[in-house]
Amino acid sequence: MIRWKEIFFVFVLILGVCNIMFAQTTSTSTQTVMFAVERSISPNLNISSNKNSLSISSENTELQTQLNRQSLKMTVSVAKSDKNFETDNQTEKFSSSSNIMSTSTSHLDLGSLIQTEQSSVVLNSSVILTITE
Amino acid sequence: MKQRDEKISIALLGGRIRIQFQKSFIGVFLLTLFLLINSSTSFTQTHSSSASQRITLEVKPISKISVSGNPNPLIIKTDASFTEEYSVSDENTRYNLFTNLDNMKIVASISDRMPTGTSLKLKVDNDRATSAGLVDITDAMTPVEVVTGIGRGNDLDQKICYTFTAQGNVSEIPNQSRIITLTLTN
Repeated sequence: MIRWKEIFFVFVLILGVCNIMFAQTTSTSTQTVMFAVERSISPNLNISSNKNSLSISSENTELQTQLNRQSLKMTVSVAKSDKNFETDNQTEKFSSSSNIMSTSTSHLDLGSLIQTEQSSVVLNSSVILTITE
Repeated sequence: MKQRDEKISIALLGGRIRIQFQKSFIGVFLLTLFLLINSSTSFTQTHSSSASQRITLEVKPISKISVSGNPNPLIIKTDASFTEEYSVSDENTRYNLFTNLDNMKIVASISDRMPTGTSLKLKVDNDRATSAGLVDITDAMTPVEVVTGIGRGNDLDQKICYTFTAQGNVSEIPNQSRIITLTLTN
């Protein structure tokens, strides 16, 4: 015996589902957001000289903080110029570079680096401190 | 056997004129007259006749939202010595929506959480409805409401604003992206 009531009920149910499917009550649209944080190293050093050596004031601590904040490998080099240090072709690199990983366990002692290398620097010259990735 | 056609006489003008018709002729005449009257009646009825049809109409719910594109990259560039919170914003993208429903809303979700120390906020403007203002979607993995009370009609060229913020102690973050999904729903 054919159960017409059940068949009719299923038919109505299918119609209802189709009606809901084709009725568009929700719509979506997407956007892609790109972002980044770039931290540049900008040391603000006070380098003073006396007879045989250079000394770096407390900004060295600030630079150290900046370096430690980065997770990249840095190269630090020191150069001198007898003329205006802003003209790069006039400079003469006199210090070795050092690769450092600025983590909490690996510190860069810029002060000792410069003072060690600086013993024979002629006075009245400019000093350029360059930090690159 | 041949039947004889009977004749009918009609006297006119007091019997001075007498016209005789065959009975069959009278029959044909009456039939023609009936047809003429009937056709005439049919023509006059065309103005008053009617017919009906049943037309079933249905307007289904429609909701549509579309954005104009992606915002410009949100890049924070500061000195490593900068310890304050820093933000950049973009409001160059727009959206259009259309709906024939009442009390609709826009919700927003993000594909993945933002990095630690950063936040992403979203502001979706709407001229006809209520904007929730700058909504933090930093970890909005489940949708959050950004516009509510949208009625029937369309809204064109509505502004979308993103604000990316990094705290001062955040180190460098290389380029990353997140997918923001805006949903118009009830």
